[in-house]
Amino acid sequence: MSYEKIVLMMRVLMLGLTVFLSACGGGGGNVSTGGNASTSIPSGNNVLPITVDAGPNNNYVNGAFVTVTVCSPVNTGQCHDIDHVLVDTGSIGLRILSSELPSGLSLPQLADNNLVPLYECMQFADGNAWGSVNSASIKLGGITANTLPIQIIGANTQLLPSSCQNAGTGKIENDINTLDVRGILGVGAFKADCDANCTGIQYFSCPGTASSGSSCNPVSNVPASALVKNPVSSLSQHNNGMAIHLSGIPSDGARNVTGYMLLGINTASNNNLGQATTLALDPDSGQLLSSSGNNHSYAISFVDSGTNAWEVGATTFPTCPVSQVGVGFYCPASALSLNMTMTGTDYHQASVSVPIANATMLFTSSPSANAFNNLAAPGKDDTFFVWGLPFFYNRTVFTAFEQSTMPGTALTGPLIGF
Amino acid sequence: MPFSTRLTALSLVFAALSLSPLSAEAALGEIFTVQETTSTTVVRHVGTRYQWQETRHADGSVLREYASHDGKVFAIHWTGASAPSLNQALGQHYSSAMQSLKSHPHDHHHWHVVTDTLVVHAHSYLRSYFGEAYLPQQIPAGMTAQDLY
Repeated sequence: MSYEKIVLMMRVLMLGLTVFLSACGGGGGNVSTGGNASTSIPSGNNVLPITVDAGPNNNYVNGAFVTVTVCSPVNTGQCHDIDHVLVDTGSIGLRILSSELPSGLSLPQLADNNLVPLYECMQFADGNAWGSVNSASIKLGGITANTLPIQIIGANTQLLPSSCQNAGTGKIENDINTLDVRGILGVGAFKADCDANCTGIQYFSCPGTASSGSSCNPVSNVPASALVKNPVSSLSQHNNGMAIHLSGIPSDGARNVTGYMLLGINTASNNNLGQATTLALDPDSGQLLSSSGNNHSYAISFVDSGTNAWEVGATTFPTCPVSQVGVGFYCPASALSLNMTMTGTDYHQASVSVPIANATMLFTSSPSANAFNNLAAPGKDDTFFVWGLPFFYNRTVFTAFEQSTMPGTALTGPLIGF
Repeated sequence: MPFSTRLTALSLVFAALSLSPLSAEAALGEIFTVQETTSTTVVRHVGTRYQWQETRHADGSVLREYASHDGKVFAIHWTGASAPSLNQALGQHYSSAMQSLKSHPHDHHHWHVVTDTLVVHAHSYLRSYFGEAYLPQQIPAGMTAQDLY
């Protein structure tokens, strides 16, 4: 973005404003001059610092990033740190761009039942990431997951099958310019990114390696040991779930925000559920039972740190005009707040206030901000509500994995708590 | 009340056979057609103000196309374990949608196009994909996109 002059002016203006706002309390966060919001990081080997910033391409809004250490499972001690890996509770598995991995790092490729090299076409809403499925050891904070399958995005792109090329938008996101992050840490409530119902356009076996024109075959019976796994559920300890905490931020946004990920739930002194309300998730879809408010009951609703806005179906407020920087988001005439109720599949309920501001005004008046707690976008229709990253500011949100228990409780995942 | 409860004029199941079921191959702005494929089921409903045709794929994903009575598709909805090929489903509107995808803020779990001539909302979460696309100027008089179920 070419806002430099405006940014400079705004920063001078914001100096006074942010001091004032921080005095009003971010509830657990400290907003400093320059619009940064920080929180103190707990100590412990199960803690992973999070930063919300503009991302590696300086274009991200509401992206929560961590640094992940990828190690060779065969050459002990051969490791590489990768920053700006997106924390995503809306997908499963670690995916790293091949361009971010040093060529000497030995990560053996996995194979299907016929020992043919395995590849994956990971479909996201906006595009598809193609790459090989490889074995790696992962370090999160001070805890290691030994030898789990990950996807190396952008490996052997010449093998890209047409069915992957044509799926969804058909936009291929195999490099930093199209993926906008160096990797994705998928830590949703499931333990693997596919199950027995794996569709025919997700996993492929490709007998060729480097030569173009090699044909790839869809694989539906991927060996369970080769499915891309949730890195946290694969840890040697603290593997029953995790929590994400982001500092509170003012209503005009913040430039950089700190937070942290706590590995495990009720497994250490720093990751206790305490008085958190827990809501069970559907074991097949990972969704809540419903979310209600805004005069609607939304049958499709879920908590997703990888969605950068509240997504609200069937509103009466307008989307931002195409000519404005907020295009794609909501632009209500004045800021408002929805009183929403989340209901889990166990009928536990929680009330949450959802602030929504005019996105064009947010982006225009806070051009250096990368974090907003009141950014909202349309949902698919009036059945649809997403608790995106704004939900995580000023909260500690637990995600317990499927078939996992929480010590000291009778609870079993999948569930969320906050 | 969902509009579909009033769609009682005519309801046809075209095929539910595993050997030679049918697949809807129409695109936004084009005329409904039905073609044979090997792994889909097509259901069609004809209502008083519009008709719709639903294609169910083997993986459970569903693509529903809404058309006016002349058969011209003005909206599509999708849900399930895979997203449809939007190149095919958006037809002549695909390139402008992709142009908007490049220029609009988006992330990996949602993107939106909202213009006078085309609206797209697409989402993904875990193993599910959801979306809708419609031509606002082609929606039959007296109804809105929210009336489509």
